Amino acid sequence: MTADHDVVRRFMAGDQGAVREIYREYARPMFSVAYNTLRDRSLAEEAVQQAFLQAWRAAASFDVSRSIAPWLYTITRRVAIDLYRRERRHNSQEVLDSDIAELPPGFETAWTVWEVRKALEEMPRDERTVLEATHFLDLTHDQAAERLGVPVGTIKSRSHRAHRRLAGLLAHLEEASR
Amino acid sequence: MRCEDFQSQLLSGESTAELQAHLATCEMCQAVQPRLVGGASLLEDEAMWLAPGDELENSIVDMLVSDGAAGSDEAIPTVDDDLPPSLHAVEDIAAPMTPARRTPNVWALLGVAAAVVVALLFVTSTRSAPDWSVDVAGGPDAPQASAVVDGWNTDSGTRLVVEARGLEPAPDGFFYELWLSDGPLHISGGTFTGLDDVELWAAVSRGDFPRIWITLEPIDEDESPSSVVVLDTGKQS
Repeated sequence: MTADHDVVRRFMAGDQGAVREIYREYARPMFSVAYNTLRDRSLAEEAVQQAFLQAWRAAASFDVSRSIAPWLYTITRRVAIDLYRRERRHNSQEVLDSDIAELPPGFETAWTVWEVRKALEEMPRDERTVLEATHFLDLTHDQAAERLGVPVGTIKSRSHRAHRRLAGLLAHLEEASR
Repeated sequence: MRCEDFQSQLLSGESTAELQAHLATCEMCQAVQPRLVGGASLLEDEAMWLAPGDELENSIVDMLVSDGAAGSDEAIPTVDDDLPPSLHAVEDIAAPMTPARRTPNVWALLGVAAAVVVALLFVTSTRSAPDWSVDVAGGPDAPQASAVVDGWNTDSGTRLVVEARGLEPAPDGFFYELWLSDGPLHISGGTFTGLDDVELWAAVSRGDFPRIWITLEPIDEDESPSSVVVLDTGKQS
């Protein structure tokens, strides 16, 4: 039995510590999947909360021999889609024809969101910070160096390591089981 | 160059003639190319970098504990993606967020209220309650550790009290340092070596610098955080 299985067994037994362990391991990928669909921070938090509640209530049906990640992912995505629909219904007066194109991300896309976020959380902090600076904040190496207070050479080497590590993590992704 | 180098290039958005030539012949890199290009695109998305608020973890734990034993349902409610959900389906999802309606027991409520008043009197007579409190998980270098950090917001900064578990006092030549961070910006909240009665002070507010983390620092002239992270709330936005 792996540690993953052990924590799931404890989760099923109602252990608060296990809830916290699972939260700290998976809340951010869950949040990313939800945010990717909902584009609203409080709604994404609501989705994570509801997903945990559903997982809690459905724990008896979970096969502990399997990984918990795809299970949590599936629940989160479903909850997020339901919230998305709820919000659209509440805002139905504002729905335009163009909304037809604004469908939630598909299953595989959302799974990639999950895996990329999970991979980022597994990376060393200094490498993740460089990726955030250069990709999300769109800083040049010089700008990132100034912002982070380290030499440009350090940024370049961290960036190289970060891309290589993340590429390695992403290149070996497993397909999500539906 | 090896496949790992070309895959790194795909992720970083580079496009060289050498990369294109390699892709034309390497089935393995061809197979992972869409995933890496998609991953590179996602790195520009705030969904990858935002994090849920600090209070969500405790909120979820409280909610689950009050919900009763795990596994009370037989299966996860399913959603048919091809059909618009009924209003009932939406209510089913929202229902767990609403406290169960029960007939209030007046005497029990009075008892709880009295207990709360007594507890509040006790707390205020000893020390004012913190403005916020956060559970801090063990970092990569001390995964067994945990801590609760209580904070009091003041006009001139933040008073911090750290109660750590699973950590040893800092070894000779080292000390612990608490940091408050906003992304890559780090503000020291002070240093300590022993773990009893750790009270620190930061010149900034947690609202502006939401992440709290503690590193083990060598005694040297480097004022930036070391890479030895023993406690960390994780990146908060």
